[in-house]
Amino acid sequence: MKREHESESLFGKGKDPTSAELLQEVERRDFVKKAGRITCGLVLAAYLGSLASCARKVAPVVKRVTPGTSAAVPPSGQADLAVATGPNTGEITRKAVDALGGMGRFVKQGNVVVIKANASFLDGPEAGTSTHPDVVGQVVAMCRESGAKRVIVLDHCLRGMPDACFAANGIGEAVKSAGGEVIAFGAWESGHGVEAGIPAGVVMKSTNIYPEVINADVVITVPKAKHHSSAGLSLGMKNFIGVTTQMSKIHNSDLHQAIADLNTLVRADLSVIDASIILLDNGPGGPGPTRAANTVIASPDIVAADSYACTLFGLTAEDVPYIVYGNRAGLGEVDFNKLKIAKV
Amino acid sequence: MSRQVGKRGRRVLTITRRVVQAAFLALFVVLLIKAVYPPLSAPPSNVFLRFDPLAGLFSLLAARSASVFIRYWPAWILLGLTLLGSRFFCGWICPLGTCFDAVGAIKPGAMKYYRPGGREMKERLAQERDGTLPRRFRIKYVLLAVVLALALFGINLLYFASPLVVMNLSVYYILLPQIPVLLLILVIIALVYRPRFWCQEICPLGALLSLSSLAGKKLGAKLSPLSISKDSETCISCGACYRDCPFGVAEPYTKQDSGALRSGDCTSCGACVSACPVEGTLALTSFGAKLCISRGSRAKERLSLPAPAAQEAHRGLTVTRREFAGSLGLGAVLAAGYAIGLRDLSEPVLRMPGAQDESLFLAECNRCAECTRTCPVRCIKPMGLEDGFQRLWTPRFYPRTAGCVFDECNQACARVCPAGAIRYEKPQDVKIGIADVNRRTCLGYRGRLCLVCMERCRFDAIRADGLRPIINSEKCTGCGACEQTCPTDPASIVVFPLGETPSWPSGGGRRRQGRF
Repeated sequence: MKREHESESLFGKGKDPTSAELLQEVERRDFVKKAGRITCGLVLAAYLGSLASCARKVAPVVKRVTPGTSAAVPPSGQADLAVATGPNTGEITRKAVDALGGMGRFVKQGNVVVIKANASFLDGPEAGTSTHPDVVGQVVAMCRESGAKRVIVLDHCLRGMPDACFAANGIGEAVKSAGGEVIAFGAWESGHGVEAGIPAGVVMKSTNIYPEVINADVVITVPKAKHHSSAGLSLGMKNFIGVTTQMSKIHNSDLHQAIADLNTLVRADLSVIDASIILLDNGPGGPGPTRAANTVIASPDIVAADSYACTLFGLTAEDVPYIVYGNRAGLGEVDFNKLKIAKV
Repeated sequence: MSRQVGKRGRRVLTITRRVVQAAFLALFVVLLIKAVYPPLSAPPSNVFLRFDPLAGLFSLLAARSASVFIRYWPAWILLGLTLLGSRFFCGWICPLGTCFDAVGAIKPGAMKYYRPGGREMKERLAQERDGTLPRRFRIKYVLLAVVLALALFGINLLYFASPLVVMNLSVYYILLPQIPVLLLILVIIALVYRPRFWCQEICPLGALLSLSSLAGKKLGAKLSPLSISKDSETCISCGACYRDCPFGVAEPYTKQDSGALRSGDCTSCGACVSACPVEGTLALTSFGAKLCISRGSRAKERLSLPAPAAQEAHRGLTVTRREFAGSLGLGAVLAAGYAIGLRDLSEPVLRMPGAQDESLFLAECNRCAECTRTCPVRCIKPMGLEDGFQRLWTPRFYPRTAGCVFDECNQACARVCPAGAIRYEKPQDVKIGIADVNRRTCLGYRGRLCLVCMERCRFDAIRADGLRPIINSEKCTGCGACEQTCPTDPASIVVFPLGETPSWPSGGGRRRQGRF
């Protein structure tokens, strides 16, 4: 009642309306006000909470990853290294993998496959800087045929925005039409990675890598064989630099040893090297002179495949130290002549 | 909020206005959210900001070009409507005003706003009748003049003068999320003093709208899209309208004749119509037609006023001692702050491609953070005070955080800029700056295998000489992809703005900046 007195007009001359209806209206308004206040309080609290969570340093998840099983032991009678040549890049890719016994040797029903392609650059296959879309598309298709549940093609894009990069080099389109999915990382996205220890590392004891690679059942490296101004050649082992987020760590130590260390963490089950058009100089991004080598090399032995690919450039594995270090770390055989080679 | 209890019909107007205000606030926020890359093109995400006549006038004065006039077409529509009517923008649309109203509505009951008491109201009415009402000095008009005068000298103060810019910058910070300092201060003032204190006394945009509505008041209510009219015959001078007016406009209470209100501060919000206890005394009208009339049920005796005061009428402009001292103090603080904050502007800073020449850019840029919001790689952010007040909150390009992708995003920042401070530039013409290598710290120059800068350069501007990166300054666009990924800390390859000679202080350089 007192409240109604207050509420009356200034000079106190009017009569006080005292009906229950008016009282109800006052109560209703009080309720609306109270509800408004509570809502604002909650919104403010939520906002402050989100501020606090942004301010808090998120502790990195340290995952101890045990090194993968050694390269699949080839069943007797099948080749360990396949070299296919021919003008149709997609076709020779299939021939090379078939010569190893088919994709079914590596990918089983329901597997999650991660394919690390070389999709960092904006040019199409003729520039020799990114993996030929036909090679990636064919590998994705073969994985799907072998019953893979998911086939993820990923790379860390160096030039331009990630999606635009995958669109420009044609790999995005090829992967999607073959039934795979693309995960493109930008050079500015470092928050996505997880910390992983490298027990067998010589110069690099831990790194930060994309979790998709750790969680995959099968990892396939599908690199472009090309010149690289600092590493000499960019091949299958070098390709895995694109799954880490810590460029500085790799380059501030011995680059070649760091590549070998990284490969003890991320073990490729299969390496399919695209040497259809190879970049001979000014790598890895070009532009530079190219040569049509029309070759695809496939092997479960990543070191042997890289070692063989060197010959296309007139080099040997001795010229590309990370291949030798890979051999030393037990990742594969540097002398590819010891393996059974199928040329198709 | 008085506890005027009456027929529920009175609430309809208030509720309608709250809904309209909330809708415009939501639109404002949604447009800013949608400015994220790729920015909304129809309607353009910056369209709300271009409804700002002060920003339009400001840019006209600063840039003196016809394109600015065209760019701000929505502002001229608003100004025209205001000229015909009232400051309806402030009462119905302004998102900052909506925030203030919301603060006023949810203020805890224990904190009370000052409301004029009976004696004060009586005096006010008597002064109005006798013509002895002192005219109050309004600082907002002075601020408006100062802001527009500074435009001629290329000093842009819109980030405080225009509520739309203040709100845009604040919502940008809220979405980050960070604390919007300016908005927080204004809200605290609204909470402690009066909800619409800022709008009534300080806001230069409000002053501009007040002036234009004053200028147009002579045209009459027939042309006015929104105004308040009074029927003095039935008015009982109870003062409920004055007490409820968020802008403290006494006119519906003191006006002696009937017709449309002439006060420049009236926002046609209709609070007085809702408060009026007499049927039909006050009405919200549009083009002469009554949209809503007051719906009281009680007629009261007319107020008896004291006899006319004997003293001589003085209608001159009155400034109280407190106001005078306050203005002096504020002016001194501003002047001192500005003097301290002055920096040599000849030292170039990195801006995005398409940014106008520095002096024109500083004049045109509203500091609304629209470009920062849209940048797909977040390579720009508002500057702090490190380069003085003139550059406060202007967007700076930070290549160490991310390289600019102008050739791929199609210069989203230029497309969302409401002020024309950033204009579209052909990708082949873009030159933000030129990169330079610190030969003492570069890994390549120290014989290490790196060349990450070369990998990242998409303009073929970096070639390898053995292991050393060599920059082709012709081809370099200054996109900063190299600086972003340089594995040394501080970066050994840095983009220098055009006109700055690369210098490498020993042990210095630019530290890695985190994401923002």
